[in-house]
Formats: sequence, C-alpha cells, structure tokens
Amino acid sequence: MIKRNGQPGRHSVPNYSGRLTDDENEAYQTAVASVQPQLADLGTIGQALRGIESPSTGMGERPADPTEITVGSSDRWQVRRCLVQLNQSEVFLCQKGTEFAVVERFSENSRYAAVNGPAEIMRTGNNERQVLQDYVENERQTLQLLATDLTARVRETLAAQHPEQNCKRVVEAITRRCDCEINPNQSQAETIAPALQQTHGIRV
Amino acid sequence: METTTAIPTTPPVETSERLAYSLEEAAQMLGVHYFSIYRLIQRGKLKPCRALRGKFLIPRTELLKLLKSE
Repeated sequence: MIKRNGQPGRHSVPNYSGRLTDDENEAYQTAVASVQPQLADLGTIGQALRGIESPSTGMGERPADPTEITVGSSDRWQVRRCLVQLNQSEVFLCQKGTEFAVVERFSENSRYAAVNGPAEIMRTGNNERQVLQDYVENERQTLQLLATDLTARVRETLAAQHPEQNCKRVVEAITRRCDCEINPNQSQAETIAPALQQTHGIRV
Repeated sequence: METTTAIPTTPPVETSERLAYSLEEAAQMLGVHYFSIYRLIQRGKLKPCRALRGKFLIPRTELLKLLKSE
C-alpha cells in the first residue's frame, strides 16, 4: 500500500480515483463541511440541467405556478414550465407567439427586482430546443464559476485550519467532485484516465 | 420541483462603507439567491474582484450600480 508521510492512503471519497490518508481525509471532511450548502446546490442545479437535457426522464417537466410573467414594464410571456427553482429566484421557460424565452424571476421583496424589474430574460429564440440547450450550456458555465469560487473557499478554509499540511490532493478531490456534479459524463472519463495512468506507473 | 436552500450562515450586512462584500452578503443586500449573483457575474452585469486565494468578492461600487435608481 502506498504511504504518504508515513500514513497509508485508505480513504476513498466520491468521484476521486486516489485514496486519501487519515490527515488528508480529516482535511477533506473539514473542507466539505465548510461548503456543504454550495455543494448541495451544485448537485441540485446540475441534476435539474440534466433533466432539461433528457426530457424523457420527466425531470425537466415541472409545473409552473404563475401562468404569465411580465418582463420590464409590459413584455408579457406565457409560462410553459419551471426549469429551476431556488428559494429567492425561479427560472421558467416562457412563450410568446412563436418566440421562446428562458426567464429568471426574482422574489417580490428583492431590492434588485425593485430597481431592475421582477424578471429578466436570460435567453430568447424561435427554436424551443435551441433556447433550452443554450440556457443549459450557459448555466453550466455559471456552475463552473460557482465551483471555482467554492474551490477557492476550500483553499482558504484549509489554509486556516490545516496550515502545516499539504492539501493539494484534498483540493483536487473536491474539484473533481464539483466537476462530476456539473458534467458527470465528461468527468467520469477524466476520473478513469488518471487512474489508468497511475496503474501503469506502478507496473513500470 | 427542485428547491435549494439559501446559505444559512450569512452574517447581517453592515451599513458601513466597506470596499467589497462576500457573495452571500451581496445576495442578501440585493435580496436574491446567491446563485443569482453568479448568474449576474456570468452575464457581465456584475464585475467581481478576487481575494487572496481566489474567492470572489463583490465591490461596493458594483452593487451600487445595480441599485442605482434607488
């Protein structure tokens, strides 16, 4: 068994091909706890996006509460369905004639909404499928922003709570976990590839 | 229907003249979910700065721009 700093790597964590030592695992658990709500949201939104991409699963077909949304002062859209719901904002697929739009609606009490309007158009077009695909791609980029920020927070937490420890592999493990939540298919291949390289290295 | 929770550890926002705010503080000031802040950054409506280890911070001036008509 491979050892690091005299400790065997015996802890496996989600979506990471390597094994963590006791110290690394402790740091990993600390780091995950510090960003648990963001990790949960990453998973929830990622799952919603996969549901939109695969309508056969029925996950993208959510009933919408409002039947109509007004964007700006008079731009009225019929709500087709809710795509993602967060507790202070909802994203809907809307339609007006032959035009489709993905619209984000904010909480009624929001200061941002009071100034900028209660809803904003994120994507528009005449092809429903294309509008949804563009929205999903863009939302994945936004999730990537969240993942980058989350990794930075993890570095900050580890630097404060485990200052003597080399936490490179811990950060790697969390980065991999985020990537898998955002795009599981791509990330599975990336997880397998390093594992194969590592196996070759040991044999040689 | 998917529902996610807001981050519960958000500290109360101070009204003093700070140069920049954390993402959660900015979200609280605007009254939106914190993920909406990332959407605003992604759409170029909000320009963040970075702290030492790369964490996003939102400059006060950027927040004021979004609330300018108040």
